[in-house]
Amino acid sequence: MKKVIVPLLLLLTAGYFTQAQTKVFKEVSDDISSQIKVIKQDNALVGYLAFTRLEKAGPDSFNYRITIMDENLNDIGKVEFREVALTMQDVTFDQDVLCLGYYKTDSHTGKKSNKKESDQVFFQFVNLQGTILKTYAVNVTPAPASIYYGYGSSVTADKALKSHIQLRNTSKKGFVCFYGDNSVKKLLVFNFKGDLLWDKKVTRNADAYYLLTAGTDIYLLNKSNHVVGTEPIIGGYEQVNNEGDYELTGYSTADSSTELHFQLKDDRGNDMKVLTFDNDLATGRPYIAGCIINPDKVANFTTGREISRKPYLGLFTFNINGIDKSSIKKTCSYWADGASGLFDERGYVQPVDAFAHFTEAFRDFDGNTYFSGSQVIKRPRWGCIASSIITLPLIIPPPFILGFGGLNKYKVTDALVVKQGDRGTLTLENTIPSKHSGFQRPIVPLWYFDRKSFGTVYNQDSKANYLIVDDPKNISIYNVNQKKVVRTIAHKEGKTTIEVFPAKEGAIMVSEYNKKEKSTRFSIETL
Amino acid sequence: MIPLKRLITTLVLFCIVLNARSQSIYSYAQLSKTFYARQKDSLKKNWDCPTLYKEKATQKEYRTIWDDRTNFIVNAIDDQNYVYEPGVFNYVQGIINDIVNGNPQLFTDKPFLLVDRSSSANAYAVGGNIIAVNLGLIDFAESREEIALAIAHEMSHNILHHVDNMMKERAEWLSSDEYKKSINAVLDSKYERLTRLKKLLEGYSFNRSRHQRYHESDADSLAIVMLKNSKIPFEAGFFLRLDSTDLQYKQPLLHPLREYFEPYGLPFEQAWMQKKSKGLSTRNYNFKDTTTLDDSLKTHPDCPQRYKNTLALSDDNATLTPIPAGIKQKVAKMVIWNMYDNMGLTPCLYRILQQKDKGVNDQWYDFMLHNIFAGLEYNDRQLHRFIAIGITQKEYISTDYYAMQNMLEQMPRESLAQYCTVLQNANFWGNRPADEKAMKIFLYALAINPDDTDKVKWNAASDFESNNAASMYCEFADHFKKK
Repeated sequence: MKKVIVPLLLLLTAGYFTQAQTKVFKEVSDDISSQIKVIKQDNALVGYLAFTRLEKAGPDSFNYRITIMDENLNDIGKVEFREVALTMQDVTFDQDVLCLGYYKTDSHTGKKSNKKESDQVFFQFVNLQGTILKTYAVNVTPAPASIYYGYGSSVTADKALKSHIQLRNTSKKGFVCFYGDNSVKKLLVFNFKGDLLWDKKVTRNADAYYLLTAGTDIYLLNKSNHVVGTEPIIGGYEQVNNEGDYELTGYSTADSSTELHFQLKDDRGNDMKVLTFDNDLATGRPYIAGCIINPDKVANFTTGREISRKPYLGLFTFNINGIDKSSIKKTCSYWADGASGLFDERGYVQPVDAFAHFTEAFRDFDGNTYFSGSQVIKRPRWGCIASSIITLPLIIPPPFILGFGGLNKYKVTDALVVKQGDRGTLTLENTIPSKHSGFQRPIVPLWYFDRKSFGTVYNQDSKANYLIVDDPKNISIYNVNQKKVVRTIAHKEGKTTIEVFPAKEGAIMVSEYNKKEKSTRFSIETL
Repeated sequence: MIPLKRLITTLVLFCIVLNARSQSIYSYAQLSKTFYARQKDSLKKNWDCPTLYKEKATQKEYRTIWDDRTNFIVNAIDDQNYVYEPGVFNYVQGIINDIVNGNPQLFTDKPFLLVDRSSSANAYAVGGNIIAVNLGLIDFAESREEIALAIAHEMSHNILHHVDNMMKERAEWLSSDEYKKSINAVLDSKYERLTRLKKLLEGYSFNRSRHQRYHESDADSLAIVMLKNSKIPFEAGFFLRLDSTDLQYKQPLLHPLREYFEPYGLPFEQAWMQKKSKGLSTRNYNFKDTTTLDDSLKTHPDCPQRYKNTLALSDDNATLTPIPAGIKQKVAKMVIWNMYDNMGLTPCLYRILQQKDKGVNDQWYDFMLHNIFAGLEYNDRQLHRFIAIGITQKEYISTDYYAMQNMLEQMPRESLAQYCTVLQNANFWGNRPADEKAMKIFLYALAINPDDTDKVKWNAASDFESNNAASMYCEFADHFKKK
């Protein structure tokens, strides 16, 4: 059994507590806080890292410890150092070097200081002998925000980064970093020794950025948000942003002057809702997959009613084969084409008599794209309809009844998996039994009653793909190649609550929390 | 009146049948919870903390430490940590008797012996004239004299009151003004509180896993004196052997892994043994650990120094007494069974293969091989395969152990199920005693039966225990009884 975090004091002092000491131990342990990060290389999990703030070392500094664990949660080493207030934001690995990115600030107490405060993004390059090879810092202009340092404790400051640090490795070249402060968005490229090779400002001012690397190429998918409507929440309404307006930019690590700028639209000029931006399993090249947005329906799609009113025109996959527009291969499958017979022109999935609320997309080793999501069924509200008819002579009630409740009700049922072949043909692979929601009124947002989440696991050696369907009751593990559910795990077994997390290739991490014993046990199980 | 001859023949036949049917190494009732129940109650009632201190605070600390010591033993008895198997017990007791008889001036009472089921090659004294000897020590030792040295060493700790003195020192320190001042000073400091607290505790460390050098040296000296008085030879080289107790799983196997499984008709894929992970476990890391005191992680630290200190007292050319083969075999099985019951499947399996390397053909090991794969299948069903395997980092194990560990981790579920089915139908079951055959049925219910509900497991456990009440394997069924 692996413990993820064991308070340091328990390790030191197990069995020697007295009442007088308890207060001291409690106060000292309150100062200790940890963050856990996954270490990735080429988008695959290779280990775990615990970043722990041990204690205040001086007026402006802390003692920190980095604990590095392998993919089986075995400790392989520790590094300790002293620095000002740090929040770890990301970590990556290649050529036996870890690259860690932090947000560094002098003003950790929230109090005003007479010193000139300079916040920075701060990088460490650590080898597998525990030596810090190099560090690198860049001054930043923080944006107003609240941030939390560490896990389990908080130090509220009034500044942060607008776009947090994202780190990726590029094979045989080094590490790539993206971050955005209040005034600029930047890409930095380092070699494996920690030397800065080049940096570049990202020109497009967007609201969200996603970094990916493929070979020696760097890709940044960015999204701009603008308000298109409102949706009801408890106590009022909140604004809803557009689902599209993505742009893909690309850079070469070999030559920083080469750039790609590609607005995500199909050949008909329709906007795209991105479900995934990832590396193809077989080729390693990036791909983007998602839904083609109906230009007539950009306004607030979030409800059961909206999904039945053709919010999307179809599904797409864009294969990004290089840093030029001509190397982008588009595969678009439109409902209206009806080529597969699977969807009618509204996007209604005919074999299962339901609409599809797609929330995940992924690739197999043969270049096929899969889309997974929930089935949404629509049924008439006979009670409402009958009341409206009965009260028709009274004139006023019917509009009220229908306006409040609507003619139909909506419910989320089983999950479904649809495959898009490389020529765009859509086939229904399977449905996966899941917990159904109750019927909801038309205006209830989907996120309220579609509680499924999806994850993917793959095995490079056996070329197997798995889809993890996590609903409120069970976790289903679906083998994509065999088209069947191979395992179903209940979330609750007696006093134990089970959750599943990403783990090393071909495996999942199972966490079991025992409410009675107040303990958590972790296990990494191969699928 | 029954003729005498016929009566004797009948009795002899009855004993043979009884022996054939109950070949368990020991019975369930010989585990400590049952066997030492009286002694446990006596300890709890009569092992009173003496009043040594006028200061209430010190006496209170001392009582807490005393009670902790009592609870350690009492809980260990309840947790079935000890076993009374007459053959092994009497063998060890014989060594103790020789030492006591050779040193009458040092003993008013014979020490109370407990045989600990742990696989660690160690023994320990807890004060109060109690000494525990691990099965792992008997398994590791090559001669009676090696065991005698370890026992004498632990008896010396008791004679020299090391444990009692340590308890007093700890109580005095914890209640001292100096300690209270130091602890409060930690909070009074604005910075580096954790560092200060660590230094304070490390400076007065009473961690039981660390050997206090001067105590160990005294115990070594007295142990050698006691052995000489008992005419038991001493060889300083025993300490160098002790230095290798942590290398059990670094020893390679004699044959390729495949050759251990193919005789059973079990399919074997070379690919299972190769680590497919791209993770950090496959990299060449070598961190310098600067965060702990420079101390040995070994079970027996400072062995080379202890060898040097005692070399002059070594009995050169002494004839050493081998441990009887029957005892060695019994102990090996007891260690393996205990590991299995604690679901340490990988070291359990490796020890079985090491026994095969020694040429041991006992079908009990075939039975345990079946149990291991059934246990792995059961744990796989429960999403605990990883925990049951207990992945160990490659630098602490041999290449063969690493390959075997990878095999257990990576063999597909279908292959694991096939292993269980093949072993369930293997030929060796014909000669096995009734309780082992009942274990086969019980493990079928746990690991192979498509009905995976708790009720099935409860019923299977209950059936096993009611039909095999005396069997040592009831301990395993206990884990699955309805609570």
